[in-house]
Amino acid sequence: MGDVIRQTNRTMLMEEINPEKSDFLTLVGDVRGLESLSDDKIKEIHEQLLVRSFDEMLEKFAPTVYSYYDAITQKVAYTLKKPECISESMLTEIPLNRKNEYLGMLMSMVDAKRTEGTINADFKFEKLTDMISPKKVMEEIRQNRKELQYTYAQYAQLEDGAPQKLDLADKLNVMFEEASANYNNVMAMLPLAIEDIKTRLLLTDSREKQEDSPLALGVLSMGKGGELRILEAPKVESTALVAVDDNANTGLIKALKEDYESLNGENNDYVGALVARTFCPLSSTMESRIDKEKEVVNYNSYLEFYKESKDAFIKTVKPLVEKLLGIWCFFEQYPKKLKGMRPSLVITNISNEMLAKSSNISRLITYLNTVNAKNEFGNTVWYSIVPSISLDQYSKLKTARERFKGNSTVVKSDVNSVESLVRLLDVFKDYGVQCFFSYETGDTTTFNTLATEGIEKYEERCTPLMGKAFSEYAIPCLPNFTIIPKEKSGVILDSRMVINENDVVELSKAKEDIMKLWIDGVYIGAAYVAAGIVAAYQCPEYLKDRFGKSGVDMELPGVRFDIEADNHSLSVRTTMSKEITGFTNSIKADINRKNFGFVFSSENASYKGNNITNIMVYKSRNLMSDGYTFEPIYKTQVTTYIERILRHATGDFKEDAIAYFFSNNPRSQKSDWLAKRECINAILGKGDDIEHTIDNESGYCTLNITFNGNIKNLEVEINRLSAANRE
Amino acid sequence: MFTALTTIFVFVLCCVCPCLASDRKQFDLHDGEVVFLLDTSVSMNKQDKDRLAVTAVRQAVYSLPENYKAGLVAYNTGIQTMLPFGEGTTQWEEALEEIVYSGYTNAGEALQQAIGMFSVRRDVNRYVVMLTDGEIDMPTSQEKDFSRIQYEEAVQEAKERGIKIYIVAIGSEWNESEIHIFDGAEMTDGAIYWEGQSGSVSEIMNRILYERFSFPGKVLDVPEESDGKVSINLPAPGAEYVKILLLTEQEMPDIFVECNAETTTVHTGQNIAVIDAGKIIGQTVEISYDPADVSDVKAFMQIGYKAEIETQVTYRREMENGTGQQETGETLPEYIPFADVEIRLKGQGGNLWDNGYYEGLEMPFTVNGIPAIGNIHNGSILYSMQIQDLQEAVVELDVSSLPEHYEIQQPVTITFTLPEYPQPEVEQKLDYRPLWIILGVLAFALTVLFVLVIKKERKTKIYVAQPQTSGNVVKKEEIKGCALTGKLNMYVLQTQTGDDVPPQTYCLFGRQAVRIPLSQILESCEIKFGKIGAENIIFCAGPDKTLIAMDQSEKCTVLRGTEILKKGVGYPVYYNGKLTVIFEDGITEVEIHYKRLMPSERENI
Repeated sequence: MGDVIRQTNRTMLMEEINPEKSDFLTLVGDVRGLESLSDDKIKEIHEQLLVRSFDEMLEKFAPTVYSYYDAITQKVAYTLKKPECISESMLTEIPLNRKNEYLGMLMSMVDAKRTEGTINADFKFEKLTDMISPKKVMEEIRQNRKELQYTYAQYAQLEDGAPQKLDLADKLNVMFEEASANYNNVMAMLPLAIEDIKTRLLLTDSREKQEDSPLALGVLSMGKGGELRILEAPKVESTALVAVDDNANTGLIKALKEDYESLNGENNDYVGALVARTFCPLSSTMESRIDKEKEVVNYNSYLEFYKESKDAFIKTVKPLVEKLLGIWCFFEQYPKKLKGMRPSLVITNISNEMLAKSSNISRLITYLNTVNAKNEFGNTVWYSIVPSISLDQYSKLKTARERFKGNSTVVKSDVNSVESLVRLLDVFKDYGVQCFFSYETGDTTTFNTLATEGIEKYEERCTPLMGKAFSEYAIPCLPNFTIIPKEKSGVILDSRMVINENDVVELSKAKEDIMKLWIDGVYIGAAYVAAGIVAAYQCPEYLKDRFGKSGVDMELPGVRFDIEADNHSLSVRTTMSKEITGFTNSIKADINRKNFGFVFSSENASYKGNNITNIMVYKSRNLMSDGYTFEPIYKTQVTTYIERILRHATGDFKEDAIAYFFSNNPRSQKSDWLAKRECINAILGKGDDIEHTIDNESGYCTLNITFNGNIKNLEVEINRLSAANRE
Repeated sequence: MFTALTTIFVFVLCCVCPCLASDRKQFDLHDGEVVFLLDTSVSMNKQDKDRLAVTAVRQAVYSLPENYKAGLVAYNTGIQTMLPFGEGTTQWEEALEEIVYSGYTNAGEALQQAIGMFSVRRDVNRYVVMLTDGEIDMPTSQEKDFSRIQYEEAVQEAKERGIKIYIVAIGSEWNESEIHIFDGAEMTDGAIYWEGQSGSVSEIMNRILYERFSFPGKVLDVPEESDGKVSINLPAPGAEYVKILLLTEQEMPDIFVECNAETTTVHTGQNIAVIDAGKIIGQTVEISYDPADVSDVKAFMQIGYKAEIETQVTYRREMENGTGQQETGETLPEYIPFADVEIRLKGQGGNLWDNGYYEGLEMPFTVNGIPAIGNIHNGSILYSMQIQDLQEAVVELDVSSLPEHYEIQQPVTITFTLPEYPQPEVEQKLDYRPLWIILGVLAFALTVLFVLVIKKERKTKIYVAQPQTSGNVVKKEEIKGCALTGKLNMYVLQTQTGDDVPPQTYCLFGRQAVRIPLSQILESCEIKFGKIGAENIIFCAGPDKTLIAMDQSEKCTVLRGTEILKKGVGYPVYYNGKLTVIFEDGITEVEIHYKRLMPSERENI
């Protein structure tokens, strides 16, 4: 590889993450008359769209969910696209990052499963789904408030002007900032309020004064009785605060309330007191009488609202969360500790359907013409990921003109059509970009389904993509990964509260009073993980980590690494945990007979004395077939790699340079490769060879690359330094 | 069953159009002789109190068609009454009136007398209908045995002469295990009918007439509530006779007939009535009866027509395939004469088939003994025949499938008289050889011209823009011997309708190196924009595998890269080059990428 090609794993993800951020089409811009983009333009594109880690992606794309309150339906609504007709003040932006409890829960789930190594049937999903219940939210706050109280106490003890006090003040500011995230909107206050009422009603008989006034109009508010409601127009009412009598924490309470007031223009003392109680829960502050009936009603309505809004939130963010988790899993395949050829991802941030439109696709061509058709390979795109392909093999581009009246088909909104994939593949084949695609997520494309139904379904779906010029670049990845199975995605939030015959408040034990919401299954497209693992093993450092230094050439990439060969799949494993006990022998025989697709397996296996609990790669094939079997993906990449090296080394295929390239001269490229054939990442491995023939009449050079006895041809046009061959 | 209805309904019985020939019953058109053998022994007083047997004989006699003759032998110990064939109705009425049931049963002698009545004419159906209530019975056993012997002998003779014996067993006292008189029916292929079991005597008689004798006639469908008048439409006017038999289980009411006929008579019995009309001029017979509330009326009808076959012949000729060629080189067309024969059936009231009843009816007939079936259309049957070497044709109609009786003078002979055709003109065989030579020379000259034009086209001199390094000079260059290579990838960026057109590929390799307008490329890719100047943007093969693009339009804008193409000047486009075309409408925009085709890709084309 040397200095010529330093990376062979740049990947392009054809997905939209945040419509508010710059996207590929916008950044590439108008390409009329342009054959390629300027270096500055490429730099700008990569500054905005290229990421090398999950966190960088979160930072660059800041995935966000927008929420607003609908006064008519009295509900909270969520959307991934920023509603243009709603003013900023009425919108709440919810960032989807590692701190987001829902995303956090799902990532923890993947981590926990990986650590435990248990299959889906044995894994206790409810342990983690519990993380989004009000109880867990409160537990986190408790931890935070402990630290807050401790720090504030230290701060209060110090004299004004003391340098240490200033440091503590800085620390307090950060802590207040974090705490304020919980009380700067009513939605975040809900779990607090729920737990607060529960604590007061079930554990104490303190009284509380309630002289509330509406929090705000046109936003979610709490009424005078603390009842939850959404009003149409903003109003300003009383801002008086409740006086508290706890001397020890007076300062902290006061500070919290002031902070709350300053953050919320329209505040009320119910919320103010709630903030105080939550972050300074000393019994001495609880002097107000409790109106049990009202509090029980409030509790139930908070819980109901919390459930509904959580439900709506989860349903809205699910597609985005699956994308984010996919990107996370892509990067997870390459160990953080390694410092080699780290996979990088260009995220188009535009929907596949939009990019594949005839009017836009020339922008992609121009971009690829710039990064892939030059003798500079730093930004060359080697792979692409197209997840969520519709299971309908005849799905059309949503904007496509119907020239002939065809069968009417219902196109799902959150999936990519096969037609758009075909259009992209047609471009990718011209630029040697291998495309990992996976079918739409759901319970029909999981390991479980593959184990029971076999691969015929996938093979059938891929039929329109076979036998085409681009088939070699199409890699169907299967099955999709399951983060939470649909049937185990229930989350129990809490139970309704009732007042029994003894006038004692208690949590209802009736089944219908248990508030439960369904996450409805979360899955990751197999294409992310497939591209992730292939991108990872391109790195010689990664291969060294897996196979030891002796067998790996540190200058060559892993383009020739055949993951199907020998025990390679046992060493190069995904970071995903096993999902099922395995495929039956008949299913495996079927997969082996057809050698179809990039197939993952969840098998019991041991390697070097260790039990393998990860999902492994069982097959890595593209859709090019000789009529009997599909071709391994490494062949395509080696061919592309050789073509690029050849083009670079021969000054765009000069005839005499080609002859030297393949000569037996010990310094020729071929000799160099043959010398390294024992390495696991050799470009020409054992049983491989490369020959060339030049047809002077037509002006083409044909390379016959032999892989374990099977010949693959590569044709290049010889550069005779005439005007005819200008590129 | 009597109905209480007093309202008079008028209904019309139209003669049901006969079905297709294949479905129709075949009637027996031969002449017939029937002798009714009536047992008038004393036991009949008990078995036939109402003299239904006598009535049945009367009914049968009146129901027989014109070509049937009836005779009667009424017997007891001896012959009581005997009526030979050909007696008139008066004699019949008197004879039947005088019949008295008394004495023994001498069936032997009676049958012998009956057999003796039959003629020896050929092609005549002969039947004996015997109505009796028991076995031969005579005062003494010798007489009885003698009568039996006589009976057996008569049966034997009947069998030999082809006379069928039908026996109607009257009454219910048929207890003997072996009844000798039934041998008569069995041996002559006749039949035995049991009163009650086979219906009433009257019904049995009717069945014998219509089912066994099978002479033409039809059952008229009289609705249950037919009180009042019955109107019968005849198939055609001018019937020779119409006989309508009415049967009822009750007492027959008074019958009135309205019919435009020369003679009309009505014979009534206890529960039968026979209407006999002769020489009917009109086509309708109206029957009314009083009282009107008689139901369960059964009606049978026979119609007879006298008719003759009329033919009209039209001649024509057709040219025979493969006209002979004479040695002289002259050709004489040969013709085959055909006769289109129109066959009609003329009755008293004109062409019988001119009536709707016959329209569409399939009519079997023979021409020179060859069977054929024709459809009656507009009153006639058309039959075409080749009449080469034929002087005449004999036509005979087969009307046995029709429920009417037709007395037709047939067969008829048609004599063919071919019209005088003008002698065919001898076509002079033209010698086309000089013409062929001229045409050949002309074709050769055109081919040469075409090749020259093609060569010239390939050598077309066009103004080609030179590289910028040459100072943007436009030079006239001769383009010759260039071949189209590569392919064009087309991306429609914008259309008037805003539709998204999928990217298309147009393969140039292998095509004739002539000028290809963009409109042709778009059309072959099924991209239709209408007339917006695409036809004036021309592509042709250039040297060094280039593609020459030329904008000859008025308002289109074509860019090679960022360079706008000058009108009428060819611009070479190299592999991976890009053209952008903005059409005359100012909206539609297409991007064209010129790509190379690898040898392996070319093989797949």
